Amino acid sequence: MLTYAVKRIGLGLLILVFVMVTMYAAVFLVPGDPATVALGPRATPELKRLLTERMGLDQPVWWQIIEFFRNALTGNLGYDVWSNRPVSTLVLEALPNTLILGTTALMTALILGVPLGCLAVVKRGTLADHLIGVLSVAVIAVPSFVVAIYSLLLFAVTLRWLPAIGAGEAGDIGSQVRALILPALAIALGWIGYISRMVRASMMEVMNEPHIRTARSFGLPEWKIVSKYALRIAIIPTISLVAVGLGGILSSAVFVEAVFSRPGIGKLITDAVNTRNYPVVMGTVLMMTAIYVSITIAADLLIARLDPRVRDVFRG
Amino acid sequence: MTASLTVENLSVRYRTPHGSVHALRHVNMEARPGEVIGIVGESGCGKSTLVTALANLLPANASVDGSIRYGALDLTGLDERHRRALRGDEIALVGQDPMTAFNPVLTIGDQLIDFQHHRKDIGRADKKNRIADMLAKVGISDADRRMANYPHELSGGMRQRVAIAAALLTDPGLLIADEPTTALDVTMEAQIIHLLRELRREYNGVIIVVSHHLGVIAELCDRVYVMYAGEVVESGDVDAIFHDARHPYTRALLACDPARFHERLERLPTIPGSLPSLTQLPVGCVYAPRCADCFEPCPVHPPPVVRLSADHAVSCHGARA
Repeated sequence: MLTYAVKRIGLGLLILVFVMVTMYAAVFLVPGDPATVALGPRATPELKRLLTERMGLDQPVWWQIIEFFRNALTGNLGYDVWSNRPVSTLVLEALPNTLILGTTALMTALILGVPLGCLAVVKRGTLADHLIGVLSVAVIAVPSFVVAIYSLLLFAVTLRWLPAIGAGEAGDIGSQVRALILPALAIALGWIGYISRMVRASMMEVMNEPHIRTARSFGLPEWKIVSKYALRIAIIPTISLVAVGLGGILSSAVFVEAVFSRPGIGKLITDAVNTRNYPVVMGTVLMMTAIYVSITIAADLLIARLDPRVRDVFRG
Repeated sequence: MTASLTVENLSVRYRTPHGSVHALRHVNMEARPGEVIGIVGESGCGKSTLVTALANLLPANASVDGSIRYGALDLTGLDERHRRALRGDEIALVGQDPMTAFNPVLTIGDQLIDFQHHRKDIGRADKKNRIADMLAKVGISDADRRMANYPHELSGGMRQRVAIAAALLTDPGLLIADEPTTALDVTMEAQIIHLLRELRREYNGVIIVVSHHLGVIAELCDRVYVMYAGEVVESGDVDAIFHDARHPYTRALLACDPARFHERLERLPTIPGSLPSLTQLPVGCVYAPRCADCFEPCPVHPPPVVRLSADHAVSCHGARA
């Protein structure tokens, strides 16, 4: 198990390096000198040179990458080109908002999606099953930013029940929760559908396995068979799906934070891209990738914990 | 509770998109406490349907006629709640494939504790003790370690022992072993047969052993029912069936048993033809199309049940003479 964990973490670090190299290559390949784009056509050559130096763009790309990682190891992600504040501070300021948003959305999706999937299995073939199926596909089909815009129009603009922008007043939990509802819903809605479909599909497969017949032949109640004997197995592909989909959740957070003008990583990165604030883009991407990679590793370890057969494959 | 099992005129039909499959037709069967009953026949003869009906596990698309009486209860007339109450309490099933019979992500101990859920009177610790005792009885000594194991950590033979222990844990009056050795290799098979023989000495309920392996049946059973295409074609005590078989199908089946050959044969004998389609059955005797002794009435009239002795009965036109 430990070897497995170490292997996975090593692989995760490799992914981080790969992503950052790709990011640098992308910056390098984009036409136009970032300093010129940032400062506009009327900037003096001295100013341009100064900015280029400050962004480290006068160095060769490979050197920039090495430099970036050397600094990152000491917790220094570079400085915001415009405000000169450390990128790590900016990221750490924005991160909690995004984490709260993502976690709330994910939890909502799991809390509603898993039972809906189970319900569809227990009531398979009935109207309830079909209804859950149709609704799931419907919500999967709607992109989160569409849900964001329409729910904003309906609940914030027309009905005025919930705030339209921001993350709520600092220190006022009530207003923070109210500001969280619409963005979290916008992200979660499609995931409720995904998860309920996934749980239903994998559970239907599990319910045909002989060990379920064994459990039945011992007269175990159907709810116990579904919630203990089948769900323990059926949840495994769902965990993988959620872990992989987390990238999707983070990227919908970018849109949703933009729609709701909600401070967070998503908004930070959109603003930074618009102003060609490369150190901020790099720092944020590194952070997002690190989060994504750690959650994928956590999911794999969780699967190994839930499925003893997987655990044994990686023991040794 | 120990009680006799009486199956009367039992028919099971599956509704499928391709029409109705008449998997079991007019089956009669009797088993007294302490008896071991064998059910034998080739694949698709209805053995599994019969067992599934006895264990109250038929799927939703099955419709049942006739009666299965266990003691004073008619199993066919019970609602789902009462059926469930019987399963794992009065009636226990040992499945075919020990490799897949247990939940792969729960420990053996966890599952065996759950399987005793009808015992509301005892706690978890007592249930564990009962498991340890029962595992010892089926020849597994290090019970504590085994209880902490997951199914895949046990060998096939060991898993089948656990499956038998699980069934016995519920103190069933009716123990059904559905092809208990089919998925095992020959050595394991011998061990499991030996175990079942040991167990039957102190067990006083009804045991039903289903197999297409004649050796298993001969070793274990008191009485045998031979099934063909969803019907019982011959029944009798084990000696009568193995030494004085009257139905051409039983005789053909015995002739095909490789264990009976004393020399190497060029080709193994087979029964020519194949099982009739259960959606379109022949009008007369179901075996007539494959029967070597078929004569005029066979394809036209269903055969009568001929009682040869108190225990030996055969459905065959040829047995009347």
